[in-house]
Amino acid sequence: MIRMRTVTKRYQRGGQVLTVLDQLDLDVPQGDFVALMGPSGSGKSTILNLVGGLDLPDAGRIDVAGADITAMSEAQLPAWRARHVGFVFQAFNLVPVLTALENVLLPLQLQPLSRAQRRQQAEFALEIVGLKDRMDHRPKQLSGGQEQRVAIARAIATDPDLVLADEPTGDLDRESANAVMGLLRRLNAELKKTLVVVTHDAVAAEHARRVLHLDKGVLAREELNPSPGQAAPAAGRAAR
Amino acid sequence: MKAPWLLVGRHLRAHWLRTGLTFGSLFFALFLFCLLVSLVTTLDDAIRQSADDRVIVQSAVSLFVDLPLDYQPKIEAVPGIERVSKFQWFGGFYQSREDFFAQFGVDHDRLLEMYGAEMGLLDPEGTVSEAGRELAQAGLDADRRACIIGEGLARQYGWKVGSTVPLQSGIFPMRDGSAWEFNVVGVYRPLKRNFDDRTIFFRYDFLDETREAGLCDGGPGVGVYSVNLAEGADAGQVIAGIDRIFENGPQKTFTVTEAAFQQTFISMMGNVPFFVGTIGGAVVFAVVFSVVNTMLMSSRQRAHELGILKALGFSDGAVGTLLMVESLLLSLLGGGLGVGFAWVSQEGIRVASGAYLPTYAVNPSTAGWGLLIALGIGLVAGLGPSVAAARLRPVQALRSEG
Amino acid sequence: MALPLAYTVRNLGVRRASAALTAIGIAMTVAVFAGVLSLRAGFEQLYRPRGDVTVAMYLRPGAASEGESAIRREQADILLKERPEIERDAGGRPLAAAEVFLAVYMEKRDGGLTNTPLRGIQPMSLELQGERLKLAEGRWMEFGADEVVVGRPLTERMAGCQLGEVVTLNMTPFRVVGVFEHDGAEGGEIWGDAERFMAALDRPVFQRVVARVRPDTDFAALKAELEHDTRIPSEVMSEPEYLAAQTQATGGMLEFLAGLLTVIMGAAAILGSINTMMASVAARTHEIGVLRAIGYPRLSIFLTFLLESALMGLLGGALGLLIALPFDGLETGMANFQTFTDVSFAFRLTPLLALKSFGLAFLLGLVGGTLPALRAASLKPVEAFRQL
Repeated sequence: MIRMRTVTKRYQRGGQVLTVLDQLDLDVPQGDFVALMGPSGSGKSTILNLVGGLDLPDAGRIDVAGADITAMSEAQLPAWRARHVGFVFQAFNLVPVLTALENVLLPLQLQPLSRAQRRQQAEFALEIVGLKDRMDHRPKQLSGGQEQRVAIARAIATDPDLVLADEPTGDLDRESANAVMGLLRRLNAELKKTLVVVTHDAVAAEHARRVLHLDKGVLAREELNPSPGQAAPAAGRAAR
Repeated sequence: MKAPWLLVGRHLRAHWLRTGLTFGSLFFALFLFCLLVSLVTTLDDAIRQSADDRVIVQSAVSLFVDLPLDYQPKIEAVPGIERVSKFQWFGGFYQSREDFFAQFGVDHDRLLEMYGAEMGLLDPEGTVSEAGRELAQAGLDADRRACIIGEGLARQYGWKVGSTVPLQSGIFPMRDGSAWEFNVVGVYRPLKRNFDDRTIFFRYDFLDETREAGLCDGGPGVGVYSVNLAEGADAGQVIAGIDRIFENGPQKTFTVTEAAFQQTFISMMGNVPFFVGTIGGAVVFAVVFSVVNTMLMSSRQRAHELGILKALGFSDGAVGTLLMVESLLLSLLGGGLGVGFAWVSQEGIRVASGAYLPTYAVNPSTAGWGLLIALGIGLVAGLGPSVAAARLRPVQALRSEG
Repeated sequence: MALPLAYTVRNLGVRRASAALTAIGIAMTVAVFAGVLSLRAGFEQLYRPRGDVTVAMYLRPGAASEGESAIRREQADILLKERPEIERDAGGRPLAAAEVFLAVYMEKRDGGLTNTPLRGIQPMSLELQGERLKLAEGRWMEFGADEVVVGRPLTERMAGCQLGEVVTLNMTPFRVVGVFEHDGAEGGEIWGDAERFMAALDRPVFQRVVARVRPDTDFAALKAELEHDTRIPSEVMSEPEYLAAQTQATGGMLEFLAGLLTVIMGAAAILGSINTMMASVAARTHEIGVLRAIGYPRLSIFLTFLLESALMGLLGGALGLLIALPFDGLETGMANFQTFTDVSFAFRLTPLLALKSFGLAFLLGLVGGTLPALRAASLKPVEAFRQL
């Protein structure tokens, strides 16, 4: 699904040039659930931005779902993104002036579907995350955990192959965090979505199948979770 | 009071676009305020500055009906009168109709004396002096085509003593189509703010002769008589006295004080001053709102930073004052510059408005009010945010974005 | 491709106070624009020429208006009798009249003196006016008698002009025997017998000759011919030309005033809306990043913010028109600087003007929103997220 080859990314910060990723190679096969961990500045969010086509590397090549996104123009990327990727951020995912349903509809507006089809897919996505009954609520009427679940619904609304999440549980309490991670795990297990989640929370990372530790822009260590989610059995029950 | 005053300047600079925009709004608003108020005061001034020892004798029917020449000795016979001069409107223009300014045919032997308080004659060095007056008078006496011009005209057209000014007249056109020619013998500077500096005064007798000789059109007679009262004379009595003489004609007169005469012209402008004043008020009001808006936006965004300041130990008062100072600084600078621009553009506006507002001026008090309003805006706009800032709880502030 | 309209509209609602204040700024600008121009429209409405017939005015050479003109009796006679371009009626009488015109002092009802137009006419003058003229009350004055008729607006604005009251000219009293209505500038005048006026004022000159002329009259040639004629030197102009000259000074001044005020107020309004929109963009930076991440292209972002500002403008426009609307039809008067007389008219907010005002509001919103919209659209998603 994802293939990164000799990817290098540099940033300018206060007159200095920082090399965040240095000739990184990374593979994420289809259907995988990967957690990226590492200290601040290790480049995990950068990888997410690059893979999602939000930014372009200074060197190297990135293929996602068979397409070379490093060769795409600025104009082509948003369209590609809309079709193939779903994003979940740490906070402020939802547009405050739109209801949950309208937020989930946003990516669908970009697809050539009829109004009825869009609504159908949006409602379906909300159902998956268990918030269809709140679809007319505004973000401020939802709890933090619920907001994140709506964000996930939006991320999967167009049925993308890839879901990228940047610290999705960062602002949540333990219970909500488990609910969210459990949901992500289901997306991976039942809907076969490829997931890449950046997190600093080791407990959250345990829901993933593979955990990649990054340090100073290179892959330092890889762990496998043979039975993801088992480490926090209480999470399963609290998902409701 | 200890406060990081440095932050005030830094903030204004950091958000230079917002600062600039608010600054601009204030600039425009205060400029417009001064402009509009000055339009109204200019008109008022004309009346207030009128001589209280002068009356104007005109036809009771219309400004455009002339009074007979034999009225002059009769007016002079009325007790309480010092001197009378004819004033005949010439209705002329220089090169095109747009080059429009006032011209009057007057009694050349009396004008300078009668209008000594309003007109100062310039001597060759360019200062108002007795020598200047004597030279001008000599010139008027010697040359039948002599004329005195205002400083404004001298500046605009480059005329000076010795120049010849050609004029076409709408009321006394030369029968052969040629232009009237007058020779400049003196340049005057207004000594009172409401006196136009773009007028030409020439000899009435020259006009009368030319007409009598059949060289130009127009009827005999005089538009108005300007009358200086003797010291201690009662204007009301003199007015009544003059009008009584001519009660039965041939032309009934309507004598008024100079102030009342000016008022007529203003009155003719109808409600324009009123509308203009209302607009001015509306504009300032609207812009005040926009500035208040800006300050509110700015303070909302900085809650986080203010929380940090308080956590560091700065007092509530200090933090509140910080915002107020920022508001005041912005308002005084922007508004102040607007007022300043209104001040320096006085001359430009006066010239641009041509004959409509020959005495346009910005009173120091108008400028003062403008600055006060700028200050007021700063206070009003800063009040809400600074009080809120003072009352802010650090914990709450640190949690918010920014 | 486009973001839902609800998104734009509701975002205006979020920053309600801010948007309202900016809309008010735009509203004020539009109100002033519409107000001053409807004053001008009302004023110029008075000076519309008649379309159906060709009318000519004869004045003294060099005169730009009646006030400056003087035509001696003999000259007027020759003009009426001998000019070939003047049409005649069935009885062979020239369809022309010599008239007296003078701006006379009258007291306004609410105080202050003003110059009211006085017109001394001949019997043919009434016929020449045709359908534009209507007798509203009383009767027409009798020629030879010291009687006058007044235009309707004067009965309300001036003192002493009601039916039955007396207007004194010099020393002669003239009784008001009728009220007339006329949709041109003449509608605010006092009319009487020219001969009686000349006698009362001791002013035996006419100011103009007005005539119906042949439709194919070549005015340029006529002008050249009469300008230097030895017996009847005249300035002759077609009615449209004459009317245009009357309005130029005042109309021009009002247009200038409208322009000046609109520019200044418009600038302040634009600054205000840039400010509001910039704040909106700044507050929604992360949100913009999310939208870009979802896949919305830059153009969508640009358009939605531009639309938001334009909507604010339209709101301001509607509000501004609401403020200006009550003025429509309001009777007022002002000096025509050209003729130096008072003219009565009403504010006229034409549909076209209303449309232009809306257009102005929209434009203000658009211009004010461009910079912020560009800023929003040019945000890189990565930057947008870093802002938080």
